Amino acid sequence: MDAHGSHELTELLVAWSDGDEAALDRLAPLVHAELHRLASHYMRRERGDHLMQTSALINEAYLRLIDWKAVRWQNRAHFFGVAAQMMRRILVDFARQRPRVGKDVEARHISLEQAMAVTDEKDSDLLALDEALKDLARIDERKSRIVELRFFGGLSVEETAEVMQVAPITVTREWNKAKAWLYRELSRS
Amino acid sequence: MDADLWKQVDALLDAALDMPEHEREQFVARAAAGNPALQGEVLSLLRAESQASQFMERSAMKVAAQGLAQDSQLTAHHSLIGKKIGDYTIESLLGWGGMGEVYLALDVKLDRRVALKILPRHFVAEAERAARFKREALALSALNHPNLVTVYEVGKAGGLHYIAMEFVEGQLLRSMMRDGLKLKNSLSIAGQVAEALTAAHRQGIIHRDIKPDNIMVRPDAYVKLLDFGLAKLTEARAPLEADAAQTQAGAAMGTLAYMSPEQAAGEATDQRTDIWSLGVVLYEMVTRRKPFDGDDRRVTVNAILSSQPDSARSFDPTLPAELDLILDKALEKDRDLRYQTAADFRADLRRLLRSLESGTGSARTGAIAKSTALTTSRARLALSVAAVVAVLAAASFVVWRFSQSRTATAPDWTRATHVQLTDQPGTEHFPTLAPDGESFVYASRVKGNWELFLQRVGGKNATLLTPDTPSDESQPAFSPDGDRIAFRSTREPAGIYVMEATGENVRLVAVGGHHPSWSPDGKEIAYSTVGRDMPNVRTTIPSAIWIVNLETGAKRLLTQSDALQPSWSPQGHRIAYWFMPRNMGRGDIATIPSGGGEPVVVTRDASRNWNPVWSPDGHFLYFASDRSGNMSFWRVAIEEETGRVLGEPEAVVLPSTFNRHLSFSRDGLRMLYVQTNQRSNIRAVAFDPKGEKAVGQPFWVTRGDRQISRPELSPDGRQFVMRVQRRSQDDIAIVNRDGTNWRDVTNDKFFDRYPRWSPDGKRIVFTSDRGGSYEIWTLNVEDTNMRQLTFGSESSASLPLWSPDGKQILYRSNMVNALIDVDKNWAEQTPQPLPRPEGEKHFVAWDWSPDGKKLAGTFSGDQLGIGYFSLTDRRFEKLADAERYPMWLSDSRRLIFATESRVYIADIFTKRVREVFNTGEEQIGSIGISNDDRLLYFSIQESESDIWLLDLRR
Repeated sequence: MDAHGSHELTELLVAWSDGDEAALDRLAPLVHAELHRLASHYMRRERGDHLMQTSALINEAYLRLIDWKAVRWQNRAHFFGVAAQMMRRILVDFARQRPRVGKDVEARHISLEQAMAVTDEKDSDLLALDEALKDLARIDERKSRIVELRFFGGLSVEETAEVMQVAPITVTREWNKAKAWLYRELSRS
Repeated sequence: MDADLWKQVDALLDAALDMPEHEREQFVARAAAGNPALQGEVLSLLRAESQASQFMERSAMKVAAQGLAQDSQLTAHHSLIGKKIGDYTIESLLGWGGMGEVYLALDVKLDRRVALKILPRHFVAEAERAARFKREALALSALNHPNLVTVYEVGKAGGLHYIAMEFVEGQLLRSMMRDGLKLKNSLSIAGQVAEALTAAHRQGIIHRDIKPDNIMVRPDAYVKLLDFGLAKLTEARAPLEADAAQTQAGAAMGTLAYMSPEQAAGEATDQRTDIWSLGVVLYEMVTRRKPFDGDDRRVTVNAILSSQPDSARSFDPTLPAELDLILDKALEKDRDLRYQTAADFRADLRRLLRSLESGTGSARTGAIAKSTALTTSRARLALSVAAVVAVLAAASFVVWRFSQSRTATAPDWTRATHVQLTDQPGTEHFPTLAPDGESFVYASRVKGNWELFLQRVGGKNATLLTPDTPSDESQPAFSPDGDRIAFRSTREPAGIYVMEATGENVRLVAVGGHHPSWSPDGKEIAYSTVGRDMPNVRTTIPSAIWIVNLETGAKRLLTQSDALQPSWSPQGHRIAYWFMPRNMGRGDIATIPSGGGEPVVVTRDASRNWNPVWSPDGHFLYFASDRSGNMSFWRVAIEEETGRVLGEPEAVVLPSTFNRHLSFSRDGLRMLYVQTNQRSNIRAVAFDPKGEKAVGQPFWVTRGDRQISRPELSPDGRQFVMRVQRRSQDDIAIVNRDGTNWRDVTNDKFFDRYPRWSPDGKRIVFTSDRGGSYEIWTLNVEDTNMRQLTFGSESSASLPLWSPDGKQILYRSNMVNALIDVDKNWAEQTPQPLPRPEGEKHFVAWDWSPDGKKLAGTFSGDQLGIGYFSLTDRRFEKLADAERYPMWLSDSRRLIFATESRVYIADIFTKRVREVFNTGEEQIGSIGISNDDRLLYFSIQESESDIWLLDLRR
């Protein structure tokens, strides 16, 4: 995402966190557009049989939708909490609307490694993850918020620590435990 | 799970995670003894933790995007099989890659199998990608070579863009290499790939991903180079929009082990990158090893960048020594030392193969190098052509193209007849020659405004085409059929107009345009938003080029990163223009596809390059440049379709020293241009300092073809000192007050500027580069003995000025005015800087008041004007806006200064400013006044531009 796009998104998120409900309507299409752009980015780089591996080459900066520095200091914590929630809603909705045609046939036409790679990605099912996260929130609100900030909001450990007002080491600990919990939940289903 | 249990689980999990991994289970068993629920929960979480290291390490955004990418792939693959696209029925998926999927399909009409490459539907929405697909397709379809996959058709059906290509059945080189290859086979394969590359490179196409997986060998041993999926038109670095993303993508896309050092380093690549990669493939074929390999990316990149592979003969001593020489030259890290062309590479491979086949193959070290050195480009051409013909007669198209572009005879303008076509006083600009070369239209100034005139070549009578217009009409351009003329007009609304060649039926085609250039089919006109008759430095907004369709009036933006004076190529492929580079340079030339795309730079240097015009055969781009010191024409061989520059610019030798505004007849045998003569001389008029007015008629002090500037009358009023600008040097000269007894004080290759008299009239201070950089010097008028005053100035030291007592010199360096003592050595000097005006203003001192208390000068920066600096109270005072050259009268109270044609006097106490003289049409260069205030003098600049014809028809 170019600087302009990131800026616009941040503006909308700020507006939304300040209570401008209409900003949401403008936000979702932006995120969708960005998703499509990213997706084509992946496809451009993929060559035949290593679908997932090459994606590691993508600059992670592309995946940071939110311009952290552009947000005023006073409401950063509030803002990022809201932004992460927002991204969660949009992405999960998006996953819900995804066509499922590919799911049933993928094994036949993609290579074995690729099929393995796909099935091993327990986080690739955002719907299931979202459900598990809701369960986690019922017993451990803090862990679920950290997951929301890190995974959906794309924040680093340090940034998450700042938003949560805890030490970075705490974020790392909680994150690892939350991951273990969610991983186990998704393995069960 | 209840909250209490969870708290216990969480705490125990924390504690366990602090333990070394192998002690965790025991620890939990002990700590949770008697609480099986707790123990079970923690143990299962510990297990999950150990497996979840990769889990959720991608952000949700990435997960969603990758899911979407995967869906698109799968959907596309499955929705198309069995479907019909255009004339093709899709049978199966062959593979998918960077630019979409490739299917095996049946051409229903011709009943043949084709490979159909399809750009996925949702990609088409992305304009940039669709454009790239189209570019690739066009580039590929321009290639027709037996070792390249033939493109049958580029099309669009049912919303899908596709390329139908030859379907090649064979074995990938990768799998052949597993079984091992004979040396001769390896050489033959590499030679055929080099052959294919030669053809592709000639079209400006670079493969960028040469590797065994992209080389197909048919059962009949014929080699086909596959997958120009990464191909990108050759370009010099895009001048204004360096496409970093694409470069990075390119670097990441190629397969690592075959990447050239420049690719691995993420630098710009050219055709030599393919030569490297082919070298790697050859090395691998003959040694069954990759020359640069490592366990991970970093190690491999390091090897490519810095390590030297073992020679092939160290693995197999039976290999010929020549092979190592060839590999060394292909795998040369410095690409300037590598094989420069695929043709060179191929020639050496064939030569080695031939010697092996004839049984003379031996370790004759040096044979390759020697024969390569002896091979002239012409001989290489012959060999290459012969080989192609022998291989496949059907490739005659390629041969024809090649010989066309190479043997194109460049007109020898030194043999042309040189005829002056216009001789009116003043300026004739922008001539356009009718396509038949028999008449021309030009702009000339009549009664203060520019009008267009038509004149026959060889005739003397000019017909006014644009009568009765108070507006300026200029920059005419004949349509390709010669029936119409496009031009620029300042009438309301200002812009591009088109009229019949007779001057009738004028109509507006674009508002706000300059420099119209017709498309070869006469249907469109390209124009720039800024116009120039000289490449002056421009600091305003960048010029854009637009293209307007004459039938529909529709406009499209071609480029908006500075581009002026478009010239449409004769086949219509490209548009040349000039632009102001951001960093270095004062004007450079580029070409851009007329359908839009990335520009290719033609010149990139410190000279002023502008006014590009295509030769009518499209083989050369002519342009004006001051690279030799004079502003004159140059030409460079260029490939019209790709904009690729094919050589160094060469001068078009003309007798005159200032030439511009080029135009050709359609047959390329007649060329029109504007020759400009500039001169400047000293003019003077008697002055009445009391009445503050000029007295009597102005008279010429000097009258000649010289170009002089900033004359200053000596303190005794007897002679002028001045700078003379010559071809590639500036000199100091002195002439008597009556214009007699001219003598050059300096006359050598250096630039001596800004001479000023010492108060006693015995010395002259000036700035000169004769010490290597611009420093302040003095010379004795009597014996011209010189002395350097300043040394090591941070930026050029210039504009020296003598103090009225003759003891000090003020000069300017690094934006600061500083004072030094005339008679001290540099080692003893402490230059005293004068204060600077506040804010973003600069003050340049021009004249010291006779009372020694004030400096007159000009303000620049955010406020323009003339004024003075008081040395006593250290204060700046501005007197008038936007004027130039203030000089003190003897009372140290009044200043004279000038605009382009008017002279004013200002009183620094009353602030009164009044005009004292008007030169009319004459342009004032600088002014001065005698010490007794009785003689006002100025340099006057005159310029005469006429149209000349170079004629090769006779």
